[in-house]
Amino acid sequence: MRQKGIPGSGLIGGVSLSSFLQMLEQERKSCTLVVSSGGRQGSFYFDDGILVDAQFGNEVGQDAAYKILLWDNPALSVTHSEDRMRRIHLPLAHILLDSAKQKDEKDPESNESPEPESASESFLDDSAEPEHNDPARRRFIQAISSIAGIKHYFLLNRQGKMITQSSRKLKIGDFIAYCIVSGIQMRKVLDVKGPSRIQLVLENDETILIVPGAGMIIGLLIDEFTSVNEISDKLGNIITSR
Amino acid sequence: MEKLLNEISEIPGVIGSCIFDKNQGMLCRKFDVNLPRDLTDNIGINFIRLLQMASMNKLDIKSAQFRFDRYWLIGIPLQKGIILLAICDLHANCSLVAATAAMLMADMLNELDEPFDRPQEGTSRERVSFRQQEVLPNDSEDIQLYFAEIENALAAAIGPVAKMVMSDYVYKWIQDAPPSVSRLPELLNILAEEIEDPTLIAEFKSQLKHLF
Repeated sequence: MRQKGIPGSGLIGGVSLSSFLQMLEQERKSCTLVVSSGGRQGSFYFDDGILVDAQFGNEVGQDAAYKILLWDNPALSVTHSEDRMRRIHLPLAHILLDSAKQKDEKDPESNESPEPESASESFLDDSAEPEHNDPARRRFIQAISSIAGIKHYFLLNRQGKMITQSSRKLKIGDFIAYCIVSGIQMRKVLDVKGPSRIQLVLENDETILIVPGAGMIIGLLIDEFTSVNEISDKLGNIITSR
Repeated sequence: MEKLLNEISEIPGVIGSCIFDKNQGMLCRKFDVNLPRDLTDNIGINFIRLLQMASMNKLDIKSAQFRFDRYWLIGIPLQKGIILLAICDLHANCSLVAATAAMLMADMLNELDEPFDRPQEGTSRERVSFRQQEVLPNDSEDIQLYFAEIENALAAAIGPVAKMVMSDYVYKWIQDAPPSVSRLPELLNILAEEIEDPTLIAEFKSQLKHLF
């Protein structure tokens, strides 16, 4: 993992971004690769050698990956791994190939990202996410996965049993169910209806947003930079369009 | 204490607030409407249990907010087993209520004659930089600048993993003893051992010789 660098730059001599990404995959690394170029910064997130997500500004997943891959003279830096929602389901080689093709086809000066034509197809691939057999649920997960401020989702049935979650580390299904139970107890005391929404602000300023829906209980972990009201509005739109 | 609760109750939309102790029940309250005591006690104990459940799940809650059809209920932990509860109408700015409560927290605890002792989790390495700032003494700004300089020199020697390596060793360095500029050579020597290549070690030390 330790590489000799170019003195004074922190770059790896003679290794391109795509080669370094492949190396992280081959060595089954769990880490974050931070890429900087021309004042921009983006990140690739690896879990055990699998590229699970990428982020550039408000863009996440494959869209962000394609954009970053187009940058010239990127500087690379590796940091600790993050427990990220899996937003990328295509193999790294496929993404690199797509990116190379797009780079060849487009104006080399252009910074437009290629159309992620295979993104939705790959998401709907049951072999990648076998638990998402319900088409409506798959569409719902796809919609919330595209929102950059949502770090993780937790979907529970009305009985409080976990249906699916994006985090590999956080086991908070029972806690989310308990929040609903607690809300119901408070509802009885206050003689009101609801709760329609529960927000738990954590010490690190992330927020757990819990929304009991008609078909399931939705738990979202929202990052510290994003407005919960904004996410709640977007969630409302997604739910009503289902 | 009533004066402090008044400050919260003056925020538009706040119907009332109170401080609830798990063992002693309601310590003080300020409500515009007459809410039965057992009602606020019942809600208070629900919030306390919720916080206990959060703690069991290693979640550090700063505030909990429940939206019902007529009210927002806001619970803010002041200390283990003690919470501030606020009942607001749906138009209230909940984040403002939480921020105001956080601002008044120290004063409230002083009035309750309890030491301010909020739990500070933070064993994960992701929080290293935060903890560095927490424990650094008066020369912390200098040390932060030196960290940046050291990381650059390390990156020149070992490449992009420098940030991760640096973070690991700074964490250990802070654990060993209080951080200070005079202890930087100790950190530099440990980092130099990680470089392996004698030429690059020499370059690293030469670049940072003013810190040895």
